[in-house]
Amino acid sequence: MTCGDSVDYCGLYIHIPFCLRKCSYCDFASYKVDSYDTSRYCDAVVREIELIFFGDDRVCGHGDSLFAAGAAGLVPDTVYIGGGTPTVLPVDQLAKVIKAAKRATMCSGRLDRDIELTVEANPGTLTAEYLLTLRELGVNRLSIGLQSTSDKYLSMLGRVHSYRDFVESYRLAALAGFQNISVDLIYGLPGQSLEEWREDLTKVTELAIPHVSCYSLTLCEGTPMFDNVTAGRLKEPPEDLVADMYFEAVSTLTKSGYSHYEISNYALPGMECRHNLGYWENRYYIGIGAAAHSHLKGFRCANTADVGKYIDRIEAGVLGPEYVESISRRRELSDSFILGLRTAAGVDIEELSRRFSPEAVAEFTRSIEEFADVGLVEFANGRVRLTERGMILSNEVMAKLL
Amino acid sequence: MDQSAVRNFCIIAHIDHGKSTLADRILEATGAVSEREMTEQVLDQMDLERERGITIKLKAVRLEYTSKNGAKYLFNLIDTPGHVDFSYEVSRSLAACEGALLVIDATQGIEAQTLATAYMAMEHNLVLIPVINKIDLPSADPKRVMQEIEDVLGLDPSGALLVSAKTGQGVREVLEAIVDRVPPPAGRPDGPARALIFDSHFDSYRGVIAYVRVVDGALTKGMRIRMMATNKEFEITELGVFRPSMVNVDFLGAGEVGFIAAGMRDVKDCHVGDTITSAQFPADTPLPGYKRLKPMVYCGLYPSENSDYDNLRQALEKLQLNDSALVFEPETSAALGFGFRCGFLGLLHMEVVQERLEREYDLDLVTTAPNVTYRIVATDGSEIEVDNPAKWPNASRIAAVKEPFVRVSVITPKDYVGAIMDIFEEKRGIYKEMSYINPERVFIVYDAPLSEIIVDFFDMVKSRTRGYASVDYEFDSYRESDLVKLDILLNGRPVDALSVIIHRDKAQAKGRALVNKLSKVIPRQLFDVPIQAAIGSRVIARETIKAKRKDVLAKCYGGDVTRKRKLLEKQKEGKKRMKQLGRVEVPQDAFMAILKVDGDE
Repeated sequence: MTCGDSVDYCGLYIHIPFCLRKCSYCDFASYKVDSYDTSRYCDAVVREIELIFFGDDRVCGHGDSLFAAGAAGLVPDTVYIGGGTPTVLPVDQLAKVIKAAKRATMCSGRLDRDIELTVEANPGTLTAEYLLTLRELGVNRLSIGLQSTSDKYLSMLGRVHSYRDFVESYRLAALAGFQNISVDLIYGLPGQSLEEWREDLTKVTELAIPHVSCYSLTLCEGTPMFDNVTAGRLKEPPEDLVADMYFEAVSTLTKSGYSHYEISNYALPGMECRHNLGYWENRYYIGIGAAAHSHLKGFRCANTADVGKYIDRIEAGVLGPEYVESISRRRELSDSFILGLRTAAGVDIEELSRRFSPEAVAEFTRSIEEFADVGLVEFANGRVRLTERGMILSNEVMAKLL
Repeated sequence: MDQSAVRNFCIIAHIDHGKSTLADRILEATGAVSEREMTEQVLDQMDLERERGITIKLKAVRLEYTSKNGAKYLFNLIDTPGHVDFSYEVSRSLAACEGALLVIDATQGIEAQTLATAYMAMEHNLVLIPVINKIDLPSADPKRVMQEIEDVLGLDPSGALLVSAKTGQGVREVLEAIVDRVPPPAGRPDGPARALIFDSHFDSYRGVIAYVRVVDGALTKGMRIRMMATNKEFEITELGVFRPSMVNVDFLGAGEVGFIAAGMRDVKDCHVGDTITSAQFPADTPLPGYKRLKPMVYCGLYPSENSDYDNLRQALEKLQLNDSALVFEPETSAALGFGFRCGFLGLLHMEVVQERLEREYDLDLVTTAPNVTYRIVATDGSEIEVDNPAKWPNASRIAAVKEPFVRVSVITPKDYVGAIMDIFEEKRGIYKEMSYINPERVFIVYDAPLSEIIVDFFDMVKSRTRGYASVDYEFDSYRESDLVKLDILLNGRPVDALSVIIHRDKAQAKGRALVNKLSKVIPRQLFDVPIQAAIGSRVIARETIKAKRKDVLAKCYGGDVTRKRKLLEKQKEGKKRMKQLGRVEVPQDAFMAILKVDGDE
């Protein structure tokens, strides 16, 4: 990496689209692990990383591929290996991927940053050996898909694990030396009471898990759970109850010392996810693997979600995202607002005015001024941010910022 | 052709008694349309007509028929609408005929519109030929129907024809009866030309096409004509007949039916009901015209997008070219912006116009609840007409209010007499008379306010008599009623487009029902929204729409920002279809909620 001296730090996302089985609410690109040659997939991922960061285009900096141009000068300082369930892979396969990702972070030749390296994991796939290997490879953050502390709802969600499995995995992870651990929880499940949700929150605060994501259930068309709700077999929880659950999470977790730093995310001091903050700050990121999305200079793009097609392309040495969308300056600004407002810090109006133009920024801020009257947004100290209530009504505000 | 060989007739019937099917068979039997061309119900061309199974615009078809005696005849079949709203158009086609086929369903017997149209034909001195249709059905009871023809209509039942328009049985006899019984036109072929305009449509190339029945004299191509009402003169550029497609001819003689084009660019040049005469040798007196029917039902039509106002105006103007009963004038609503107050013959007419505007002109409309025209006697003795609740005067200025009453005829199986009476009770009906058509069926007459009839009366009759009762109504008179204006306040502000005029005794219940309904159709907003119903300054009902609590996309999967934007775009599109009233976003169908409140309780 020698061309030019300007370096932009970016995120590196690697998608492992395999699970033991697909959960009933999931509409993301993930496939049953035993029907694919995961080893070949991991080799393709490694190859894609090499093509991007060490390929001829990259070295010369003036390659003709759009992708290479958009990624020129980008150096990852966070790595997030997500899925799917990356930890369904045999440890040696995942190790290859992690090593390739780490090499990518070193491509600038500089050493001025700590690298955040997250791996997503599901309880029931983790052994002590596996965890120790990840730790030795430099993984410093684990994100565990807990979803619920009640076995009744875990089974409704189609999860393969029990709450006890999680507790065991969490214990092993701590023993293996992981200090930065995150769990996902889902609320607003069909039939779930506010009391049951409190129970979930109490358990994670008792364990003092450093980072907690609380997602309200989104029913997506084409998922078994959506069908069950449409057919009346499951009942979608009322809007008011789901809102109560959101505010319950806000108050319980902040009382226990967490900061509510993004719509769905809570962290103990200093434990915020740097990689995800990068998304919300509208920074660049490079996505590797099937269905992975990238935000590069001037455009967003995504790889094909078809694992077979993805492997074929990469093996042929082709870096060709299936979907490309150019991002105008106005769009870039709009995205900065929409994404930035997800965070508690909100959007830095002055910084944006410098990067874009004060007039353009003012046009956007004007369009959401009305929400200040109803207590959804706050303008203060040169920033605009959503209030706690504004966060759970954020679509209303964001729809004005398109 | 000799005038004595011409037969002008129409077909009249209650809805669904088989009028269109019989017309199709007649067209086939006279070779006007080959079987290959025969799509079902040739005369009902508009999509809407086909879908709803009703005939809206009347049409005229020229047919040639060779009778059993070997003589050739020229038939003009003039199609008529079958719905009560369009009785005005029925009367226009009757004026162009000498005879009418009165079609009666052999399984149903005489229904309310059979009666209404038969009486109308008798008033026009038409020869009536009763046609008992659907005799192929197992439940057909022609003997009973013949008895009804005698008892109810006072016609000789021995002249009734037994027909199945579906199978074609008896159609030949119908054609022979037209030859034998319908008199030839009586006009003077050598007198000054007089032709009645009984309908028109607008053609963007040829201008107004007038449908005419020549009564005296003749019309020829190139002839200079004069419109007797306006004295405007034109030259006939085109002359023709419908077979059923338009075919040009050089000459239309006395008794004949056809169309003319004369470079009339403005629909106002060609009044339906006017008489066309020769400019060179004009007749002294016009033919008896039609009295122009005043609209019975009004509503506000507004474009959802204000920028569509001009498009809506143009579409209404175009529709009016072919629908002289439609009236409209610009109006402004504080809630809905610029739009039009439109007058219709009835509720079906209103729905048909709305549907045509949305379908044929691709307009997105907000419609206010329909109302009638009220007459208000002010305290100073003057009288004003109000066709829009928003223009209702202050209560202190009102001495008395009069509203239109209609005479409603119902024919029902005797088991549902109680149900019908209950409906009229709810609808402020005044009992007039009741008689038995036969031991099974009863004829009931009530007077009732039109305002009550236009709001779900027909649906109530249909559901509570399982569809067995039939209804017809005609305007009766204006009568004094104790009416008040019920206002709806949204977030403390009155919404003019939601005001209704209602009888004082019903105001409380209506206010409650309306407020309740609106609280369900208006989505939750970002703040609590009170909805109140008020008479003057007195609030009689109140509900609150609680503020919206949640609207969030919990997760951005792996940085898929594109997908998130798409969801937001969709949400934004949804909001576009709402009307902004103050700070409250109201869906368009809220303005029609008033129509549905009674049914929901």
